[in-house]
Amino acid sequence: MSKRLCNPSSAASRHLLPREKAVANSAPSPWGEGGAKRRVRGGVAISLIFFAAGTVRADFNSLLRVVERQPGMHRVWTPGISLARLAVRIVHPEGVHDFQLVVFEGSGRFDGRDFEAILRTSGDQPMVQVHSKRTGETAVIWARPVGSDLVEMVLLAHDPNDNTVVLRAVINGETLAREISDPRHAPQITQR
Amino acid sequence: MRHIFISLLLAIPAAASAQSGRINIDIPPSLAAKAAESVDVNLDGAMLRLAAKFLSDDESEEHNVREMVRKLDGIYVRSYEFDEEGAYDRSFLANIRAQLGSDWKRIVTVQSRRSDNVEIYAQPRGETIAGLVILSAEPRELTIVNIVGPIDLDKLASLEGQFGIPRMTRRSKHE
Repeated sequence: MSKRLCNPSSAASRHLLPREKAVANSAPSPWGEGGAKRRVRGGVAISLIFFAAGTVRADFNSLLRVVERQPGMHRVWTPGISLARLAVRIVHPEGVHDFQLVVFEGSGRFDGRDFEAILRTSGDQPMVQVHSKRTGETAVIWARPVGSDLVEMVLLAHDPNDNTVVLRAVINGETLAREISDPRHAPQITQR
Repeated sequence: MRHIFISLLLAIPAAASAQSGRINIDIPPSLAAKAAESVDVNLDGAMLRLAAKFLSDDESEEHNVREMVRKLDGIYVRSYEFDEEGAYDRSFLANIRAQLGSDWKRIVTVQSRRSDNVEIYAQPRGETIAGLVILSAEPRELTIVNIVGPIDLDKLASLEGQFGIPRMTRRSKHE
């Protein structure tokens, strides 16, 4: 704090025009070095956060690309899903902290090898894998704990005679189970 | 000598995992590829505790499962259904039996040439069971279940039909 108060360049810069201020700020000062380092560190940290967030999103997007690459499969745009996601991220209804849901139409067979190969690199663990050659149905659930209470789940359900659903959700299992088992909520859940 | 040493090194982790109740129940990919229907369930301790959170604490049946599952270290299930009889070589099961050391006891054996063969192995530890392996080999179906962790035999039946574990007991007509 004392450094900031005694910094002559910062005191003087209050009386300078914007252009002059920029020139004054760019001048080397004995106090500017630490600040610059902090700014660099801060920038690196922010870049890392964005990179990490981008990686998580990219993982889900690369999963979607695998499904999209399947012959005869095309993505169905659900209006308002981004808005719903934003609301869920703020409100956390029934223990759901985040979700991404994409629906595909198409009646082709699904080869899940690429899908699972991507999941294997993401640190998720396979919980349930069900494949049927007879019906062509596939259901895959991969999950990983996030902190002590939350779990991130990636679910793929494919039925050649129905839509294919890819869902990523971050949920609090305990809260969700409590809400589902609550008899007051049962009729609403059944209606959905 | 070198080969023996390498074999011993490879055998140590397998023996250690068998001692903890966990065995490798993965079937060869070539065999899995032949299956018309397959179910793989892998729930380690952390995932089980998370899965247990989805079970209600209020209903008595789910409460029992939840209580039991909380103490377990893992449930692993491999279930395969084939279109033809004899599509898989039953000698594969010998590889699984070979992983079970002397501390494992076979507690149930059902043998039949025509229908299913069931073997249940338990790993007693003190007054409880530290691990359980169920091998069920039918002409067209193969199911392997490995439950790891302290198991209360009285509550074991409550796990039927949960987490991919097939039902072993027959339900009455009224149920």
